[in-house]
Amino acid sequence: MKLLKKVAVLGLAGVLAASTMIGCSKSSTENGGNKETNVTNGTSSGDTSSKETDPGETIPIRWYLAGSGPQADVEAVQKEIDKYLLDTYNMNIDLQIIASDYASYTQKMQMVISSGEEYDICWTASWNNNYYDNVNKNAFMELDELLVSDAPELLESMDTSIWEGTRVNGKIYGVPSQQIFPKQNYIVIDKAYVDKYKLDTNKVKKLSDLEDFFLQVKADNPDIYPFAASSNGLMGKLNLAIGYEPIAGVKLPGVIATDGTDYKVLNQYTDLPSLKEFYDLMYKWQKEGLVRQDAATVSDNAVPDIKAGKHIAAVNATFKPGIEATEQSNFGGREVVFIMLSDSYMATDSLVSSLNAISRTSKHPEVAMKFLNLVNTDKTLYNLLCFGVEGVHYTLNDEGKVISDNNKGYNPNIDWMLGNQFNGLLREGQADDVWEETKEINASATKSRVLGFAFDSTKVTNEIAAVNAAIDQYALPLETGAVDPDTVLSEFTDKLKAAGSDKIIAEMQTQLDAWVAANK
Amino acid sequence: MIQSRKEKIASNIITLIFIILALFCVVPIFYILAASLSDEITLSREGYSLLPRGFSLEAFRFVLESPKAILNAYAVTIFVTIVGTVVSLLFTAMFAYVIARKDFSLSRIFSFMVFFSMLFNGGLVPTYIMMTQYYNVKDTVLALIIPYIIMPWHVFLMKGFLADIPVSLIEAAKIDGASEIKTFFKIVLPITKPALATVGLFIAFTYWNDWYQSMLYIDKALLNSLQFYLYRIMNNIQYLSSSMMAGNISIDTSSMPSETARMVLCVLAAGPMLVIFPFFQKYFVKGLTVGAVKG
Amino acid sequence: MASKIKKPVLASKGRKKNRMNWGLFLLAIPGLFFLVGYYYIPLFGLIIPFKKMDVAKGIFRSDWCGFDNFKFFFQSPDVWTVTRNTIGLNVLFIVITLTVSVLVALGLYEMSKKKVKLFQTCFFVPYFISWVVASYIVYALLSPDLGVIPNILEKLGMSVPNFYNEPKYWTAILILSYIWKHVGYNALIFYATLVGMDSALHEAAAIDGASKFQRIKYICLPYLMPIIVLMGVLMIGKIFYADFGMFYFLPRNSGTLYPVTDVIDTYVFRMLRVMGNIGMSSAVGLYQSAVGFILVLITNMIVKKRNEDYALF
Repeated sequence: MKLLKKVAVLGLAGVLAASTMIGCSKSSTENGGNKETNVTNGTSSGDTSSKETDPGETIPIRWYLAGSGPQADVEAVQKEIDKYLLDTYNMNIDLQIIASDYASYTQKMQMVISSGEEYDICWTASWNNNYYDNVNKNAFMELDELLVSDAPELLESMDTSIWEGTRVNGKIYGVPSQQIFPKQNYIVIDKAYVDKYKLDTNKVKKLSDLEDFFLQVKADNPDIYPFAASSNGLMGKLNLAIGYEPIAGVKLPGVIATDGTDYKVLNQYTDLPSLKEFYDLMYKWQKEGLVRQDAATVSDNAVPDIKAGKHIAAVNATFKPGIEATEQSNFGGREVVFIMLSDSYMATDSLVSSLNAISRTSKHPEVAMKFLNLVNTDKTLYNLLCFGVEGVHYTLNDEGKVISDNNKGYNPNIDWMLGNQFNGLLREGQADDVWEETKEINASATKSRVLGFAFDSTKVTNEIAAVNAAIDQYALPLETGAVDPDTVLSEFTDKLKAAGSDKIIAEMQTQLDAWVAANK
Repeated sequence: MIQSRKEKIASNIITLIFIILALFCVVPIFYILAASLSDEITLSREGYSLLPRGFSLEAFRFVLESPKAILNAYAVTIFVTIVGTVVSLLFTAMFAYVIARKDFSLSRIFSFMVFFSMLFNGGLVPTYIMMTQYYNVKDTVLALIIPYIIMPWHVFLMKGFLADIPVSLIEAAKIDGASEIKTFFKIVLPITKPALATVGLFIAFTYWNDWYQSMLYIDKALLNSLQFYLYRIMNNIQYLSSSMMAGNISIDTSSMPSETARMVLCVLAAGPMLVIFPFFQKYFVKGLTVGAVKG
Repeated sequence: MASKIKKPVLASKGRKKNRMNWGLFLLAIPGLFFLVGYYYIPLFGLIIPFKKMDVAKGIFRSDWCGFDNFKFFFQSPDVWTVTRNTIGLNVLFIVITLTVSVLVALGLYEMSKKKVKLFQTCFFVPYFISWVVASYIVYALLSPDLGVIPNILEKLGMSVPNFYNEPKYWTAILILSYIWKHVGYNALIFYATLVGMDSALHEAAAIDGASKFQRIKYICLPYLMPIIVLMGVLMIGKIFYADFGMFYFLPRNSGTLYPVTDVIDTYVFRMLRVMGNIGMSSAVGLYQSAVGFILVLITNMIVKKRNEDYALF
């Protein structure tokens, strides 16, 4: 009986506590919101009175972002930004940053978008919270007019070819964050082995040139599998080296050859000899012990194994200034050598790797656009977003570079997601000329001849779904050398045909032809 | 009771089988513990073993880098688990008792209702709409509690247990003039301790293990539950390493936790519940019903 | 023997039926409240599979599209394989887990309290290990390079298979993993049921001179039957759903294993991962629910014919 009473009392207490907690949290957000605006109004009233213009009522701007998760001290940063915008631009907003994490962002945004929730801006990309899907679902606003009317500086700040890349059915739906755009595939090798076996890196033009070197390494070190491969496969890291540009996903049938001049959509699995050669090479390497036989099941990009020295070479998709430090730490701090496997190449898919879009449900799209304009053109605002408040969330070292600290409550580390990276302060360890070099690469890269063409997949959704299921079953074993391409590749292509690959490619060709007719 | 020799041998064999089964369940845990205390590089070079490879606390240090956040997450989860379990257990037991009473005209309909909701649901989006736009529980602790208050599986389990209550007990109470509600609280609940303990334990586990509701409804760092906090650390690196190359973003993942840290996360998530488990076991006492009937 | 002693319980038939009882209704109100609020109101989402979602128009005003969202799944070439795997593996899981759990519970019931505590805790440990972490353990045991089992096999001079490339081992691996994770949970249910049993039954049986084995057969098992049937029926309702985490993480997404390890949930996940279409994913969900629903209705009918007390509703 006593137990029962206890249970009942506890239960009641719990319900009460919970309800007071909602009460509290609700009123606190409301009050908090009001307080914030009051504070900004209060402090700024002195300054703004001289400007004579009335900042109007506070407009909330809700911005969904990915990253590592919500930052503990985000409110302080938001407050500072609100104040800065009011003081400097007489813009009265209440910024609400909602930071999710990479892994759940897509699902979270699917809920937010499908439920018709009201928000203003969200981050989107080809690889997370898919840009094209959302445009197809009618989730984002067309920005062409808004850009002209509310964000002329932002529109100016990027080359038209970049804006072209974001167009879907002729309209712009997202603001790309300026950063490195082109891709350049490379292989990175542990320098100790390069020196020991006197590898002449200048003579290495393609992957197969490394075979003798790897064999030498393997002969002396039977425990080492020189070439790293993992469950993430190699296709996304080598498609330029193999010589194709994907139209709607790196493994989906339907590509354009990078070295051609025509506008023919190819099925890379049947029409591209270099891909079959690559599969053959991997199969051979796997048999010779240059690649692990269970590579397809290795997680985390094999980085722990690279660190441990089990692999001495790895490939990656995008060479960019500053990548040396990252790769070196992947190799456990050992010195590394880079060899380029392709030219620097700018394709549509690399332009949509980080965008911010304005929601269809936004009540104040012009304000959101103005805000995005400032995020991308005002350095102070951008740095506030990236690093927080100086002295509170980060400090500057002697060279004027940012030293951030995870324990200070704000270090989202998502500069490239927020806006124009060239406006940002440098982080400790970054070279002074990193952005200059990046700009140069952006300007000098070979531009794809189909740059700006975006495939609308709505007519072939069923086929794409079926094809995707088949790809996972066959592509990974093939590209990690686990199976013999001579027998498996034809099985794979038959399966793709059954799943409707021809229909997808035909649809791509139709759309591409129409695009060429309109744009070339 | 008299045990024959045959039965003794049989019982020894059974014990032996149980020991093997217990090892089968527990040995992997020792692998996890050992890995969580290993040095990442040595682990990846030499593989798992029952003793740490190159003893290192680095992974623990990494995960516990911001102890404030983790402690906060523990607090949220403990609160949600306790409150959620108490409320849910009470409501589940009440509802299960009603559908177990076959003499009640609505019991079959209610029973069907529970079953139907177990199989059919409107999907995530409508639930999300209701929770965020009509019930207004987004970013509150209620969003973490409501979804599991009535779970069809727990209701049926409870019903299965309650179905064994002797009718005589309830009829006796009725003769004494007790109302249904009084009968439930004063007679039914006390004699179903093992059932309450079992279902209560399962409910507590459900709340403890949940990260999904946090993912959907919680935006504030302050209300992150433990499992979601850990899930985030665990999955971010996995997601990044597999999807990054699709865009040309490269985020430095080399400093992020990997295998050993995953094991640490597992230890942190499961540890407390394993301590609590034996506490529940004291309610599994044989023959409770008998005493109640006689008394 | 047992039925002679068994007292009528709540579940027994032949009690006064179909009486409205406001006291009981009152007790059901909180449950009903949450049931309706959390499960029933969102049921309007059942129309999503038949809609072409347009966010600007919202769920209700989006255009109807008939069965378009179902096509991708039923037209795909592997639909038969994944359906077979899902049902086949689930049936194996249900039968084997229930059997093992009942045996474990019976064993525990005959043991001393101290032993029970220890064993129960051990059996329960795996329940807390997520499939992701479990996949690392399985990998640590099976990986061709450093795996524990390949190393032992090698020392014994046996040939070492590459487990992640050979589908034939995986049915067994999956079943073992499933038992590993779930046996503690299910055994606890049966054990708690046994513990609630009236010990007068056992005393009477002992007086009659029944052996332990006879008592298990004639008292314990019949006593467990209703809950075994209940769990079985409920599990059948979920037979078209696979434990996604398990099937996704344990085989490490190894393509060569798909013929054995690919199930509806992982298959659909792969198909839609790139596109994220809620119309299509809810279509498959509806299909899984509907089939499960029909299966349970049939099972329930059969159960009811044999013994009305065991029926779900």
